Amino acid sequence: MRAFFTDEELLHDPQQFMRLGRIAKPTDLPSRAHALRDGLAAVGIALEAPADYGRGPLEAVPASTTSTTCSRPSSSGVR
Amino acid sequence: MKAPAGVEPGIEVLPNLAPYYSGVPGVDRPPCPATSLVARTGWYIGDLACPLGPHSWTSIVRSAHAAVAAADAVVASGDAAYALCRPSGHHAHRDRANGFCYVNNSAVAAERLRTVFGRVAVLDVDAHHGDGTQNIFYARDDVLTVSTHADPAGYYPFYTGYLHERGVGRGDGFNLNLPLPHGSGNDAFLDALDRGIEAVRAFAPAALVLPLGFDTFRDDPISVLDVDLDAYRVVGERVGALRLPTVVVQEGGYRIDAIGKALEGFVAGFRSAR
Repeated sequence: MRAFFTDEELLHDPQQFMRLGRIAKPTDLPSRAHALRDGLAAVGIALEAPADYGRGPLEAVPASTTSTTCSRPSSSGVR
Repeated sequence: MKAPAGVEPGIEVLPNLAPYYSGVPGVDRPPCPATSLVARTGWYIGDLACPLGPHSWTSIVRSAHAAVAAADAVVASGDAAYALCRPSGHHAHRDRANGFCYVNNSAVAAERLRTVFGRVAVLDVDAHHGDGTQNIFYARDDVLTVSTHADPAGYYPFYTGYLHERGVGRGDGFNLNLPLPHGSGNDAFLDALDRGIEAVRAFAPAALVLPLGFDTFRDDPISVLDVDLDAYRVVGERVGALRLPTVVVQEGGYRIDAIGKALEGFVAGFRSAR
């Protein structure tokens, strides 16, 4: 199984997000990628950097032709 | 409302997010009519979990490129590839960031596979509903979207992820949600996985995208499920046994000292089934 990643994905370094009415410390830490890389290494998989495909493949995602439903309001939540 | 352990609620009620509505059915949402950065931020960022820093865009684009490269590798090999995507993608709509996600990497991979294979299934096993992916393909009959996740009535993304959402128009019957009661363990999680796999088999796709999250793990800082690390090897075994060309796309999972082991188990299980 080939696997793809580049260190440029570590540059995104969020500092905060809203949780229950307070700005909280981030959970999407760059170190997540290192942990995943180590997991792959343990099964003998090395990461390869993807080519630069530009914006084309991102913009190829089709537009939704309809909105999804909003099922019902929620009274509680954890994020 | 009970706050999760270690989270102190704020002094006032403030929303984390607002429901997404893309406009009139059949009509795409237009570009933001205002030029103000404040206006455009509100138009294109759907909640307060998607901060943009000076280098975020580089990571967002390159994360999506990892998914593209994995899709191309699968096209070339007919086997499987893994995209280590950060930031994640499955909450992102085509034109709106949400829930730590900016561009929908799984949808990028699915669309790229679709142009080659024709029929593609997406089987999302992250703890959160893959709402962006559902929305993108909701009216499509050539991309099946299936998601197992914690019951959204009390968990992000709240507004979708329910059983009755089956698709619309040509897409009617091509979306399946399998919400799990909070506190569900391996048995319920893997039963839902089996139902998802059954739906994938019935659809008979030529390729598969697996948005893979490890935030179902019981000790994940935002988990509401009770899944242990053994489950991910089983996920690998059962998904691998589909013997489909498969792009595995990394989504959530925030317990730094566990996600490497989780991925190791998944890959070992997947390989054992090929």
